[in-house]
Amino acid sequence: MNHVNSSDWYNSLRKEFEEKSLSIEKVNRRSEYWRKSNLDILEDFVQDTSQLDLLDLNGTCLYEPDLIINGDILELVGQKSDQVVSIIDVIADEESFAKNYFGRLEEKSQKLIPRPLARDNTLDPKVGYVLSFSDSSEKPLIIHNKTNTSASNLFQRNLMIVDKDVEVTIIETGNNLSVFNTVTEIYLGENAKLNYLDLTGENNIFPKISHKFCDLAEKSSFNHFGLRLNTKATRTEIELHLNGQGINTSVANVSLLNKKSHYSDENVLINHNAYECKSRQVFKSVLENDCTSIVRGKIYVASEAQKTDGYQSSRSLLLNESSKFLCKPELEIYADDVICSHGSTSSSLDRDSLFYLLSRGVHKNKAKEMLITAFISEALDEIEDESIKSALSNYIDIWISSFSDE
Amino acid sequence: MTDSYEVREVIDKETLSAVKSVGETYKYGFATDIETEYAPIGLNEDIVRLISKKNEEPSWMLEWRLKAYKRWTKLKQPDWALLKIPKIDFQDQYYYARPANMKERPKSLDEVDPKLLETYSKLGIPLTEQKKLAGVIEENYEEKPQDRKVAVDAVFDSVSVGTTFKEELKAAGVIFCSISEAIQEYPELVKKYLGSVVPISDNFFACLNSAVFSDGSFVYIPEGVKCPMELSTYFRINAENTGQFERTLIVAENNAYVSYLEGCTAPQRDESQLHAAVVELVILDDAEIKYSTVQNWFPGDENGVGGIYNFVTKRADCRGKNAKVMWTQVETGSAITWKYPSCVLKGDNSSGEFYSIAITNNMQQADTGTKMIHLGKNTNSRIVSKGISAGKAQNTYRGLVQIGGRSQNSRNFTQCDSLLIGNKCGAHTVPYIEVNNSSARAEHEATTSKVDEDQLFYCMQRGIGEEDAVALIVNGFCKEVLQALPMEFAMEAQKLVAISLEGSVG
Amino acid sequence: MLKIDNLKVSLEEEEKQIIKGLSLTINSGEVHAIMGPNGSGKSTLSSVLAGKAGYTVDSGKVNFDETDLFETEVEERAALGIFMAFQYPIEIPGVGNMNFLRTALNSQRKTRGQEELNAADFLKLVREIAKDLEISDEMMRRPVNVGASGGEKKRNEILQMCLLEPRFVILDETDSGLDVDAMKLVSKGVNKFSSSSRSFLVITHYQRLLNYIVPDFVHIMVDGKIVKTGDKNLALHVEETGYKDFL
Repeated sequence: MNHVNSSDWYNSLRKEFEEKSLSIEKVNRRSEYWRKSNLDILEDFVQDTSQLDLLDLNGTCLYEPDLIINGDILELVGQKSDQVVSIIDVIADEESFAKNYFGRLEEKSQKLIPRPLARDNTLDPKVGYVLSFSDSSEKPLIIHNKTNTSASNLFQRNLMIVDKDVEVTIIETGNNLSVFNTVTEIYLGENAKLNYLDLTGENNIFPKISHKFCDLAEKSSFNHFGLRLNTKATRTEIELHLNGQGINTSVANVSLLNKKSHYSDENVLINHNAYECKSRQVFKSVLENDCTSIVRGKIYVASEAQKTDGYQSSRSLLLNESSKFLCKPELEIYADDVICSHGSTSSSLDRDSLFYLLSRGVHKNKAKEMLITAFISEALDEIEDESIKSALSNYIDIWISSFSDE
Repeated sequence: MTDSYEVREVIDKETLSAVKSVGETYKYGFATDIETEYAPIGLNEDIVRLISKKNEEPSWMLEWRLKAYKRWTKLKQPDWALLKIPKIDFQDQYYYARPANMKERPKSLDEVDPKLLETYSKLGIPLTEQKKLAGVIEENYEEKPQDRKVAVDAVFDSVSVGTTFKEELKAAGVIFCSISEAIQEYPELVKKYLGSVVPISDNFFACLNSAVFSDGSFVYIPEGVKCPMELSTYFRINAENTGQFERTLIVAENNAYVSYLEGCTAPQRDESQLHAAVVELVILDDAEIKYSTVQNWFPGDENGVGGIYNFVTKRADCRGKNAKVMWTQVETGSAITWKYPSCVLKGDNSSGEFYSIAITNNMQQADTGTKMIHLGKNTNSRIVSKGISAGKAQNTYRGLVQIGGRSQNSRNFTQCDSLLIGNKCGAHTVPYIEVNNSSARAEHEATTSKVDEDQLFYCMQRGIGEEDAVALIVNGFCKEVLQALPMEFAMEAQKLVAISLEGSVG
Repeated sequence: MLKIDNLKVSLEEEEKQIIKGLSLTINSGEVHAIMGPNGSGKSTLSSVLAGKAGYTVDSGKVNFDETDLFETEVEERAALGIFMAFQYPIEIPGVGNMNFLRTALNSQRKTRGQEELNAADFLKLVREIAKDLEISDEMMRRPVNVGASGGEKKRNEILQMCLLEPRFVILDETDSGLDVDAMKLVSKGVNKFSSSSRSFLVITHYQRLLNYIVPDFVHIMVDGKIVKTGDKNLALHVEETGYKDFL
C-alpha cells in the first residue's frame, strides 16, 4: 500500500525496506541488543499528566527555540526557515535531493545490529524535518519537541546534511507526552563539524526512543552529548560510520535518575573504517530509587582502520540498594596498529572522600552534591563549547541540589 | 646479597631455548599405532546404551544419560559466539573408542600396554609414581622445590588408562580415580554431585556430554583434608574421527584443599575432531580448589586444516561460606575454542578467580572467558585475561560479571588485555557487567594494542632476534597469569606461549 | 671503525629531511661528542645508526668496519658491537631485568658463534657490574626499567653496556635528567669501560657531561649537518656563548 501523497521513489523504497525488514530481528527479551532492557517502554501507557509537578528542562529554560515540533506540526520560530523542509513534503516530492539520502543510513546501520524500531519509523514517518547547513553558525540551532497526549506512537523522521567545512551546533530539548520514536540520519561533509546536544528532562514522562545514524567524511567531527535528568525512560541508539581519514568523534551521556524506576538505555556503535580516526565514549550514570541504566557501547575497527584510537568509559554511581547498572563495553578489532581501551566501574559514593569532606565541615548534602558533580564532570568535559558547557553545568548543579535536598 | 632474583628467570630462559629446540610447530602431533575398538559411528539411544554398558554402569546412570540424550535432540547448537564454526555432522563421529587391550580394566599400571605408557612418556607425562612431572629443573633455584608429587590420571580416547599414587592418596582419605570407576565404586557420591553444578540440559554441548561421556576424573577430598600432592589428568585424543567427551567432578568438603592440573594434546590429523567436556567443581565451607589447564589440542595446520573443536563447559559452585576457587587456563591449541570456566559464588565470603591466556595463531579461533555470578554476601571475584592473536586468527574474550541484588558488599575486578600480532587477525572483547546493588563494586579495564614497537626495538638493539623478542614481550604480557600456575605448568606454559607464536613474525 | 659518508635522512611519514649531508669518521679508541641545539638532528642520527624504524635514508652510506650498516638488521648491529644507550630507556612490564640481560647477552654470543654463558658465570658478572654502578638487588629483580627513576634507568643502560661489551657506544643524551651525583656515577662506568679498542659517540645538548667523559673531538651539529669540529675546548666555548655563533 502506498503512503498517502508520497512520491514514487519513497513508495519503492518503502516496498523494498518492508520486504527486507523481515530479516531484521524483532525486539525480544532474548536478543543480544535488548537483553535486560525494559521492554515495557514500547507499550503505550496512559498516565494522568495533570498532577505532575515538573521540573522543566525545555526550550525556554535554557534557550529560545528556533524550531518547534508541536505534535505533527512543524513550527518555525527563528530566522532559519530557509534551511528547513518538512519531511512529509520531502517524501512527497519526486525531485527532492533528499531521495539520495533518505533511509540509506538506516539501512547501513542494520548491518551489525538489528534496529527494528528504526525500520518501523522508515516505513511510516509522521513528522520531521530536513536540515541542510551550507554555512557555519556560531549560534546553536534550538529544536524543541512538543508532543501532546493525543498522538500515540509518533514517528519523527529527520535528515541533516552538513556541508564541507561547515560547523554547527544543535540543541534538542522538549517534552514527551507520548511514546516517541525518532530517527535522524546525519551526513557530515569533509571537515564538517556537528555538535549535537540531546537534552531530556523530567517532563519526558513517556518513553523516548531515538536513533541517530551518522556518516562522516574525512576530517569531520561529530560530538554528541546526551542528558537524562530524571527522564522517565529513554532508549538511544547511535551508530557512527567513520569513512575518511582523521575523523574525530565523541559520544557522551549523563543520566541522573532518582524517581521511582526511571530508566535509560544507551546504545552506541562506532565503526572505524578509515585510517587514523579517533573516537571517545563517556557515559556517567547516577542512580537512586530503583532506577536502571544500561550502556552498550561498541567499537568496531575494520582491518583498514590502522592507527585507530578508541576510548570508552562507562561508570555509574549507585546511591541506593535497588538501583541497577548494566553495561556491555564491546571491542571488535580487525586492525593491529590500534590503541583501544575501555573501562567500567560501578560503586556507591566513595566513603573516604565523603568522610574527608565532612571532616572539613561540609554539610552532608553538599558533600554528596560535590561528589556527584565531580563524578559527572568527565562527561561534561566532552562538550567543547565553553558557554554551553557552563550553562548546562549550572543547570545540572541546581538540579542536583534540589535532588539531594529531598 | 641474595640469589632470589634468579628464581623465575630460569623459567624464562627455558622459554627461549624451547623455541629453538622444538623443530616442528606442534610437537605432540604423533599418533600412537594401537588397535582400537570403536562403537558404531553416529549417535542414537543405542550408542548411549552401549557406552553405559561398556562402562558397566548401574541403571540409574543409564537413565541419566538417556534423559540427557532426549533433551539434546531438542536443543540447537548455539551460535552466539564470535566463531565461524563449520557445520558439525554429529552423526559422522565415533562416540566411543578404546584401546582394544583395555577391555579388562588394568588392576595396576604394570598391566597397562607398554605402548600406551610410551605415548604418555613421549608427551612428558610418565605414568610411574615418580616425584615430579618431567621438565622441572632444579638447577639455580634458590629454594629447592620440596618433594612435589603429582598424581596422574591418564585418559586415552574414551577411557582412563591408569591413575598413579592411588594408594598413597587413599591413605590420606582422598579419592582420585576415573569417573567410570567412581560410578561403580562410589555411586552415592557421584549421584549426589554429578549434574548438580552443570545440569543435564545446561547447554547443547554439556547436554551432549551428559549423554555420551565415556570417562574422565573424579576427585573427592573429605572434610579437613589438604590433598598431599597435586592431582592431574592428562587427556589424549588418539583415534581418528572420534569425539572425546570427558567428565570431571571434583568435590571439596568443608575445609578441604586440592590443586588440580589438566593437560590435553592430540595427534596431527587432517580431519577435525570434536571435544566436548564438562567439569564440575563443588566447594563447601572454607574449602578451596585450584584448577589449572594447559590446553594444547592440535590447532590445525596453518591453512586451517584439521584441529580440535573444543567446546567445554566448566563451572565451579562455591556452595559453602568462605569457599574459594581459582581457574587458571592457558589455551594455545584447538582450531576452535568455546569455553567459559565460571564461578557461582553462593556462599557468603566466597571468592572466585579466573586467570587466562588464550593464544590464537594461523586460522585458530577462540571465544573464551568466564562468568562470575555473585549471589552471596561479601563475595569477591577477579578476572585477568590475556588474549593474543596472530596470523589470521580471531580471539574473543567474553565474560559476564553479575552481582545480584542480595549480594551485598561484593567486589569484582576485571583486567582484560588483547595483543595483536600482524594485521590479518582480530581481537575482540565482549564483557557483560551487571550490578544490581549499590554496595557492590565492579571495576573493569580492557586494552587492545599491538606489540609495542619501542619495546621490540629496545630488545633488538640489545641483540635479541625479532621472534625471540616477541616471545619475551608476550611472556611479559602474560606474566600475571603464568605466575598463577603451579610451577610445573608454568614452565610448560611459557614454552607453549613461544611455540604457538612461531611463524607469526615477519 | 665507523664511517658516515654524506648521510641524508628523512622522516618516513613526513618526508621532512632531518639529516642533510653528514660525514663523520670515528676510529678505534676515540671519543666523539656531537653537540647541537634542539631539533638539529642529533637524536635522529643515533636512531638511524641503531636501526630504528620510521626513517628513510635518502642517500649516503654508513660503514661499520667493513659492514654496510644499512644492510643489517637491528639485532645484527647489536651483535656486531653497536650499543645505544637510550635517551628514554624503554619499560617492558612483565619481563624481568635478569632474564632480559641474559637473553640479550646469549643471543649476541650465539650470533657471534660463541658459547652461551652459564647461569652462575652470568650472575657473577652482572653482580660485579651492578655493584660498581650502585644498582640495588631490588632494581635487578624488577621488570626492565619499570618503576625506575630517571637516574636508575640511565644506570641500567650503562650496566647493559658493561655486560654486553660493545665496541661502539652511542650515548644519546645520557645526561638528560641526571643530577651531578648520578652523572658522576654514569661517567665512572663509561670511563672504566673505555679502552683503545672501543669508541664512543656522545650526543648531548650541554657541555657538562663532557667534563666527566672527555672527548677527543667535538662536533657542532646544526640543521642536519656538522658545522664545526674542534677539541674539548669547542664544547667549553659553546657552554659560554650558546649555539648562536653557528646558527
